[in-house]
Amino acid sequence: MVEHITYGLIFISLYVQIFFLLAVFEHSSRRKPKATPVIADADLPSATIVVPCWNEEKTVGGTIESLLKLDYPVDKLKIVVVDDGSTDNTYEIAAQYASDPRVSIIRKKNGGKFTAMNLALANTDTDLFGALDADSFVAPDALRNAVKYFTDGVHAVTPAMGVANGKKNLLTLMQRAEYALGMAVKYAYSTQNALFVTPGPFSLFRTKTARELGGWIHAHGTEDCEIALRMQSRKLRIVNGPDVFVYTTVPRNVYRLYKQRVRWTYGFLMNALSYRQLFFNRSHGPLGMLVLPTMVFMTAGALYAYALILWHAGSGIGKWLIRIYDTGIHQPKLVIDWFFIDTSPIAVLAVVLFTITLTFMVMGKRILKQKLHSPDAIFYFLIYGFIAPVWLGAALIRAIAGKQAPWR
Amino acid sequence: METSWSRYIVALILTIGVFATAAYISIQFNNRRVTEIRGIGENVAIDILSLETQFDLLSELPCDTIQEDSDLSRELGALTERLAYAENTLGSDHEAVQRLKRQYFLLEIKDMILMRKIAEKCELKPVLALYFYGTADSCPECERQGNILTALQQERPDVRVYSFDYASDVPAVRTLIALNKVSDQLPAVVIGRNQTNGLASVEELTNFLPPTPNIATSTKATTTKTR
Repeated sequence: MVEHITYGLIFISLYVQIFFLLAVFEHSSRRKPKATPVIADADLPSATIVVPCWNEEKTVGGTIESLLKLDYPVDKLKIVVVDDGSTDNTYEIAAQYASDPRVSIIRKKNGGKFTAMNLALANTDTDLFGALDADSFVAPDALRNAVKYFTDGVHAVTPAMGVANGKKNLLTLMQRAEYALGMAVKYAYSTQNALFVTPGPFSLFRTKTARELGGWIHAHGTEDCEIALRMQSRKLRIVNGPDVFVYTTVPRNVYRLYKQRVRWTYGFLMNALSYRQLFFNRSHGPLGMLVLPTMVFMTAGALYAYALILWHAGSGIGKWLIRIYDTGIHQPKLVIDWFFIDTSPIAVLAVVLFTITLTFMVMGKRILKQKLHSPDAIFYFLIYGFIAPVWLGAALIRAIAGKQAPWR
Repeated sequence: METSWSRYIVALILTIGVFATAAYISIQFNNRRVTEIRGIGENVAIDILSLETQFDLLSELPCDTIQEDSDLSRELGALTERLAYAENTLGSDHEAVQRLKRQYFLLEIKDMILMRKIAEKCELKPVLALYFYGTADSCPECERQGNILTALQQERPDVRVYSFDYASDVPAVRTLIALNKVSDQLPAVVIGRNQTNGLASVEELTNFLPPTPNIATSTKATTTKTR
């Protein structure tokens, strides 16, 4: 029974990976290499970038400065900083930039990120509308690169997200590898219009579309996921811009990471429930047929795999302790022999899964222009898989219990 | 955006192909394992035959020329390890595993008889331990007993442990069980006239061993490889 479930989970994971690998290869082979279209300044659309912030005094200055360095006509860019009731010096720091004609500062009572975005949306008249989290930083060419993806039928463009503080410690290093993997996955999903998140850092929308959608809602603390699913339910195309670089600050300690990921996972599960009409709906393509069902299913699947690994590890440790009790220091000689290598079908399939995951990670690193030989991938594969199921489990329990995951 | 069914089908075919390849690779490795075990078994059989022949030819040879045949011990040890792994991996019901186990038990018995002959001729006192084990269901403590015996062999390299599946239907094994009056309470370890039933610690088994190490068990000539 256990073996059948394991094979089933492996089959589903492998199938989805192969499907999207094929999609990426097909997309790459179909796309004719051509010079990046250069849009004249006069033809560039106007854009509003809102910076919703709440107690971001340490990073908001850097965020605003990165926006001011955008290579974009001054008269076509508006930066709206919305202080959502901060209790630190966020407003005072942001106010230092108010003298720039592009920047305006709004102070309001705390109401949540979505209220800050809706306030800015209600008061803008630009062609495009986007947000940048107050702990993230854009590359100077990000906006110029993003606008070229707004071809006919495209209503939102998501960025290529990297990690700004990847070298801080082991945890941020692992997240850097994770974001690289996520980048490749998003790119693959984008080729099939299967994106289900418009990340907070620098996702751009047609202002008209955002208004017609009715703006953002609370959405269990993941308004970026909810609006993407809302767009998908109305078949409004979202694409990923692999050269729209933005760098975000990731949690530096396990507790903050845990809280963030519980919120993300809980938010996704609850939003997926709200948009369950997309599941197994062929008219929504691979998003409905594959991505959403497997994302939900594999949340439980990952927990099952984790429990299995823990069981085997615990069993192995138990046997080792009993051996020490029975025989003292006498341990069997370490034999490095092909004969004793696990070559069961599950072991071989695990190697295949790992190889494909590694392929996606390399793809993501190339997109983000990261060094391939960085050790972050090693730490990611060795450690991350053991801590991720903890927040997956917590989120699943919250989702079943109907208990909201706090932002901070 | 609808995707044509062709991509779903191609991905399905590829996934099934990967599964089939994984199963094929696994089967090939298992076949190689069985071949390797069979090869080791044949080598052990040849070594035993070689030892027996030399013993017969050199029956007039003084005992002080006899030395331990470390090659045969090592090969038997290698065979034991590999057979145990194959049994765990392929299952004890696997036809090849069952055949190899039968061959292995017979080789053990032949080795044991030969060691006794040599010991009798040279008035030596070999330390031979018979270990009878069962499956995980019938003998939950057998794995521990196996580890204890391995540790004992590391402490006392002069001890030769011969392992037998108590449920084996090999007539020679049934005879051995009857001769030593081994009860069905497993694990069972027989050292000389002493028998333990149930888990026996390293200390308990060591009490049954004579104090002296170093027993000569083969002729000098066997240090030359016969194959």
